[in-house]
Amino acid sequence: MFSIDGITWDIPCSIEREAEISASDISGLMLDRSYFNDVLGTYMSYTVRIAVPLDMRDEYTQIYEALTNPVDGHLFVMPYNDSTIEITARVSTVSDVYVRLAGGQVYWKGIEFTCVANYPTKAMTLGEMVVTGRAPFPDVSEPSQGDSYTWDGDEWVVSVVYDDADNIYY
Amino acid sequence: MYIKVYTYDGLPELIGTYTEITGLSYAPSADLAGASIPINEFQVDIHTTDTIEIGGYAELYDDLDNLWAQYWIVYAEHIDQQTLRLRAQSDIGILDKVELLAVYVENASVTSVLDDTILWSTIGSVVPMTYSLDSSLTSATITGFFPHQTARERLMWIAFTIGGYVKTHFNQTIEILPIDNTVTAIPIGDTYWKPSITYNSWVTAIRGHAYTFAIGTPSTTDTYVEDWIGNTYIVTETTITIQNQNAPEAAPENVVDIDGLYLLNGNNISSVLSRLTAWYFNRTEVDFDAINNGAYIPGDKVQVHLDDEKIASGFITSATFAFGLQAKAKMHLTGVEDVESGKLKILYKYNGVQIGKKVYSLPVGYTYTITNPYIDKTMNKHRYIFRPLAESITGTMTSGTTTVTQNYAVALDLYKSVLHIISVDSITESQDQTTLITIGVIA
Repeated sequence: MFSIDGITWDIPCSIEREAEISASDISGLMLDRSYFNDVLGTYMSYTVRIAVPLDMRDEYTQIYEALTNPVDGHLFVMPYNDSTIEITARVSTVSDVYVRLAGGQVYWKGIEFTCVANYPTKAMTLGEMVVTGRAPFPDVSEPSQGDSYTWDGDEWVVSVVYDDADNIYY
Repeated sequence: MYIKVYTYDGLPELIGTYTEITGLSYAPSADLAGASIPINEFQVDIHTTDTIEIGGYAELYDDLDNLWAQYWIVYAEHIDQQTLRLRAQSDIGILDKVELLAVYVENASVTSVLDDTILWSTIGSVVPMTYSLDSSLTSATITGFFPHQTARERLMWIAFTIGGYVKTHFNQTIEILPIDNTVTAIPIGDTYWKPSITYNSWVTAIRGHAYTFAIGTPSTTDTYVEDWIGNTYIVTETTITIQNQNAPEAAPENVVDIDGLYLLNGNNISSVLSRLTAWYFNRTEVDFDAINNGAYIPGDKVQVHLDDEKIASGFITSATFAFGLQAKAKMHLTGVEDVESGKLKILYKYNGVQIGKKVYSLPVGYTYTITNPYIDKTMNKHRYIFRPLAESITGTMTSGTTTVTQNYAVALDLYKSVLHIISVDSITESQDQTTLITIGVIA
């Protein structure tokens, strides 16, 4: 389920999402052999393949016409983790397939489109970047601004057996 | 980056702040040798359907609200329906269109001469202009003859004579500043791969012409000048030459001739020429790119790494900016000198075993403070996170190689997917199962 410009379409579809962490052209290799990544923000894009039942031809046409309007962006509501996300995104191509059956029946099927967000979903400001320096690497070995690391997920498991700086076992 | 646009009709009026910038070029420069005053400008493409009249001015700001330039709008046209291209120039562009009459001055204070230049330029252009003169230059006096010339040329003559240069970037006024030898070091990690060095032909000598003026009626063989009210001054000329002792004997003769600058006289010619040797007798120039959010600007003296070992200092004469979230500048250095450097080798050890190493090339005499990093290292199938026993290392750089050792302890040990917490400051588990481990420096 997704929505375009305020209209929600509860129809069979597959939705593929991609997050692009975009950096500017001033990114590059530095003299100390590190890479300077001037990250501008994280831009979401969704590729949607629609399978509209034959008895919903009007809806099919409405979706097609909405997507092919020559505007700089549509307001989409798309699935995002356990919730949804609202993005203004551009659609550059919309494709589908014309089918003619043996009995002479004809119809269009399989609208596919990709919408790419015009604005970042996540972004740092210049102030944040200047204060914190470059974005920390995900590897915990790199010092970040403080001395704290978050360890979670599959790879790292906290053991119940450890000793701390005072050599006290737990 | 964003732009504020003002109209000016006796008083400034803000007509718009534009944040949707699709293109921006800004490349301020400064001629520290004083041979010219560049007309700095910026060009910006704005996503707008607004129409903007030329004659007002525009201010360029970064996202931290720092002013980068305040220039007069000389061009504003739509290049497509929704994109306005705007070009704005510094006050020098206006001074270049104002012509000033010939005049002889004697022992005139530099401030009075500058006041006159800016006042007549303001009257001539109907545009308000201000200048500031660094306090170290205010006691200078001017003796000599100004020919009929543009206000831009006159300002250049004055600045050149008193040993200043003109800065029209990152400010709202014309600044006349002395050469400042304070050096700012650009970190190697902020310098892009890789600076280039240019060696120009040797300048073998600088020749300067000094003048005296005597009011009178010239003979047919006299050289003379005439001021705007018809007074004639007979000109007497002498020359002084300074040889470049560093130029090899085989270098072809290449003399820089400072000729026709009627403010040079017996009192100031030696100091002017000796000042110029710093620029003309130094044939090394450096071009390099660095992350530059406005910290290094034309006129500044900076120290830059040329490679892993070599360091040089020099004056920025131009900076061509490119913008992302941060800004990068392609900078040109003149007056380049080698900086003696030494090597600092830091060995990171745990129980006597080396777990890491860093080597820095730093200027001799530089006081460094280098933070000890956390080290992630896999040894014998154990993935260790080591924590430093000291937060940082400090010292003063000497020549040669200095080796220091920093000791570490194991903070975390991951072995066969089990994390052993060996030495940490605190552990906090939140309701969402996230575990926060705080690792400080062991005191």
